[in-house]
Amino acid sequence: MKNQFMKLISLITALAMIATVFTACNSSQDGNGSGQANASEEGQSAEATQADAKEIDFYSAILKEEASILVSEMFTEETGIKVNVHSYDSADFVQAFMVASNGGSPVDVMLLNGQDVRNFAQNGLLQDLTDSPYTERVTETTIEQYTFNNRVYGIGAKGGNSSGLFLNMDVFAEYNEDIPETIQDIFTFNDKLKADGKSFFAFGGGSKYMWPMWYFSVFAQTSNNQPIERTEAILLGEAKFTDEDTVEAFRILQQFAEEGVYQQGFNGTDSDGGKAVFVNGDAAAFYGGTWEISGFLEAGMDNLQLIPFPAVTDNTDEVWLQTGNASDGAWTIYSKIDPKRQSAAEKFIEFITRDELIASLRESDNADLRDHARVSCNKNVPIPDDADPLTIKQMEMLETMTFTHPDWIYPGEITTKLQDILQGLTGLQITPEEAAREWQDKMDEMLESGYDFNAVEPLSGDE
Amino acid sequence: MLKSKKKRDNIFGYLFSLPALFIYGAFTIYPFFYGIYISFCEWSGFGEPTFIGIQNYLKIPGDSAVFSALAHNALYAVGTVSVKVVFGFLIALILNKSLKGITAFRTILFIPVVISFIAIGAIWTWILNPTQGLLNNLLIAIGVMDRGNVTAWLGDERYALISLMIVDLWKWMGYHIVLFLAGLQTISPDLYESAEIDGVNWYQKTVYITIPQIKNVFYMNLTFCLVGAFNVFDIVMAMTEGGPYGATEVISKYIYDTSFGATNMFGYAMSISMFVFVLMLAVTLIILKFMRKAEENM
Amino acid sequence: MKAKRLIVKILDYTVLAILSAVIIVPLFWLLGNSVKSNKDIRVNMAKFFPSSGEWQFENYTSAWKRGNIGQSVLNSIIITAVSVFLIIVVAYLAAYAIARIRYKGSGIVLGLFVSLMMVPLSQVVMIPQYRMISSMNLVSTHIGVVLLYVAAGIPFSVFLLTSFLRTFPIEMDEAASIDGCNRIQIIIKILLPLSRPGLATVIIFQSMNIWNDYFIPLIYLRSPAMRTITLSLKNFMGQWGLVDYNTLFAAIATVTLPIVIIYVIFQKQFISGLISGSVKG
Repeated sequence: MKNQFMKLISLITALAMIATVFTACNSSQDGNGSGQANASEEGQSAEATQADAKEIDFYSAILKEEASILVSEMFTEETGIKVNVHSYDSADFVQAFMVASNGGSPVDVMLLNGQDVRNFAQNGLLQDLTDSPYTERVTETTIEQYTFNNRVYGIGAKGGNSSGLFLNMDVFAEYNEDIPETIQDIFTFNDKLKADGKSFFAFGGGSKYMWPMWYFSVFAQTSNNQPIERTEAILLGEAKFTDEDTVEAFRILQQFAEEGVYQQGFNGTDSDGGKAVFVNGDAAAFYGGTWEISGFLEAGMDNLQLIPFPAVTDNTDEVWLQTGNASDGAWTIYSKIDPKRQSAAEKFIEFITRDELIASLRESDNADLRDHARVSCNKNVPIPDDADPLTIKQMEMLETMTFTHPDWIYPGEITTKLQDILQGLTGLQITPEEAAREWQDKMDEMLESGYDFNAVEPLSGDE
Repeated sequence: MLKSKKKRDNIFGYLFSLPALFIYGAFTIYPFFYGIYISFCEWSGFGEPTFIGIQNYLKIPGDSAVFSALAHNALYAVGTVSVKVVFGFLIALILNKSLKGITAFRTILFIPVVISFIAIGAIWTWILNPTQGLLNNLLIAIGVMDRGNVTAWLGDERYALISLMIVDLWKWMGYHIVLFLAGLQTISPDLYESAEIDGVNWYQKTVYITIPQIKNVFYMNLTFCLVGAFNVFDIVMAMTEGGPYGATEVISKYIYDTSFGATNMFGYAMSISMFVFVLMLAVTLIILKFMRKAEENM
Repeated sequence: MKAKRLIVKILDYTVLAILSAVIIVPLFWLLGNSVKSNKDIRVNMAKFFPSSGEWQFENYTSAWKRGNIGQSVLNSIIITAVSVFLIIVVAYLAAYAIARIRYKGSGIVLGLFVSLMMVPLSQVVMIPQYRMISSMNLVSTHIGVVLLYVAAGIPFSVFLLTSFLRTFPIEMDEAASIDGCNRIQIIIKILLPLSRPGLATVIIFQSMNIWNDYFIPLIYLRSPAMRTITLSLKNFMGQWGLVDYNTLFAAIATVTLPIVIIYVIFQKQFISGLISGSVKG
């Protein structure tokens, strides 16, 4: 018995050693991130070792692959620098990126989803771009969005988006209702709709990443227009989720569910299902964001109005901030970029943030590129005069919104926790106080483990 | 003479096993050991891991999320394994007969197995849609459900897990049926003939001849189902993402969230993986022992 | 007696019919949706048939183009076929060694393979595997992915084939070797034909897993030329935009049909071959 055991151990050890030796021999080849590829390039042009590399790797999260490739080809045409495009869904991006960067694949320019920028910066993955001249091109709020600890880590991409309430004016006309200004208006209208088996809101609660938005807009009101400041205070440990403003927000959201303003089974419908209910005319309103405008237009909804979230507290005079973002994503440079590729990467950033380029993308055949450029966070690229009314409204709403969403500055676990408890809250499974308690417990756990909101750690180890 | 043959045998043995061992060793065992190393570290997924000893493992007993996730897996296992093994076998018995058109049925039952989970997620999320989906509209049509009070299959914490199990069964039943079928086809018909001469009925035939003859197939199916139930990820990811309010949070989803959606918790995620591994190993060994004992008693 | 037979027959058919209905109805709904127009699919998703006059067969052509289906299916087929073939070769040799040669330490080797079958392995091994594959410069190649699938498929396959081979009496081999056959001949002439059910099982199991796999292609096969079908299907699903269900379903239908055909052919060959070559005594 013991003999067998010893044999097993020695066999495993032998295998592990063989595999380790095998890997170690191969790994020693990729010294600084560019591995084999650079080796052959350097072999070919010895004099060129001092010159800058003519190739970059572009990781794209918020621009679809075809579009990313098209715009990269434009860049290659102008500069002769080759671009390797790696495009991932936002959902897969972090995982795929983690594996690639750990494996020593070269990374140079990254177009990140706004929600990931802070996390990446805190993990030391982003180069400090504070001194880059291109930060001048985008609006102030965009820069503020990606400034952590007084250093700028990203240059805004795409445009600002605000959350907003889409109203199906056909349904409003049918029931002879006016645009709601308070939640009381909503509840009254909803009672009428319920009698006909409809609901005021259409929502896909099954896609839980869509829930936090509701909380943010309500929280903006309960926190007296200080949602971002309060969030930062909580993340620093100076305030708590169990404070009254969060609990009040939860209370209001649960009230929504109790009043039945959502369609039946909303937590079992994903976001597409929710939109379908709205498009079908089975609901009067859809709470989403200006990013959905293109989709609705394509589905043939031509009688829509876009309004900010109505007042949910007694204070109906104040202009309440909507949750929004000054830009959807950011152009960033990898902190461990191969120094030879630095200038190529910078050239790419210069190219892609150019006012003229963005304006020209509006004429592109590719729908994603058009969408990318539709509303821009560049200072000098305003929307065209003949833009559709919803786009114009979007620009208006950008005036009264926060420059970033709270979940773009939460650490991952806090976001996930919020999504879960909002489902539980609206599913009437937990009380507002319990929800806040659960959330704060998670925060306490993190603070105890040493979470520091302001820390930007440099990336450890060499590439 | 015999000794050198034995020696030659041993050499042949290792030689034949070498390709499998080598590939397996390089691509599975080595990474696994690396994973073990990470489980003793704190790591964000980027940069270098920091060794912290057994701290990650000490966190596990206090982490209720791990245990509630495992509980979900256990429930999932009970539901899917029992149906797959029992019904899979019974249906394979039917399909084994030489009825007319039997090939058509065999083919139809197997089709869902070849459809990717992305498609299945898309199809079934719509079928289970509370207001517009196929299932509820059918139930309303036959009068079992009220249009004003529809069940939210994926949105109700009472039904979400069961809904996922049904989707899982829909997809994988055909596979287990085919495995049983393949096994049934290896049973020599002579055995049945001699039994029929002795005048045994269907029940006795099945229990005393069929089942023992394919007991390996039973073990295999049992193992696959069990392992599948504890590793289930795709269906959950595609349809509920662990919701609503954690009703369908399974352990692989929790590990995934901890690896990629949390701060510096990659090492912790690895330690949970190792914990689950040891658990599964123990469960499998117990089952094996139990089955050996049952074999001896037969 | 005959009445009893009839009742059983009716029951059998009823059960099969119900099961088939449960399978076919959702698929039928999928087909119906695959030819709906863009507007129809959002408004009338629940209905089986597209609204009259709104049959949009172009969904299939646009699915083919947008999803790069031809190339993706080819990639999936190549990767699956090569991986499964290698798995069989490698695993069968090892199973033969363990079950028939029964060399010293074979029990331990078997235990080694079996023990790691249980781990939710993909996250654990993902990063170190990538390091290895990338250091061999095999990222974004079919070979790299095949190696990973072979490694992943070995445990189950060896376990399966070993227990399968163990059901044959060892005297069979000994008799053959006395007759003058060497090991290779024993394998090819005697054991392989008898192993059809075991091999069929391995082939079916591994093909399904590899064909349906999403995460390995996600990480290793990024370029459109290398991509497999599961990845291409993902292309129809946006993150924030509305999913094109009609084209997606058309793509799914396009992909599933050839597989079903292959399965029908394959199933007949192996399973009917079993009846003639079944174990005797």
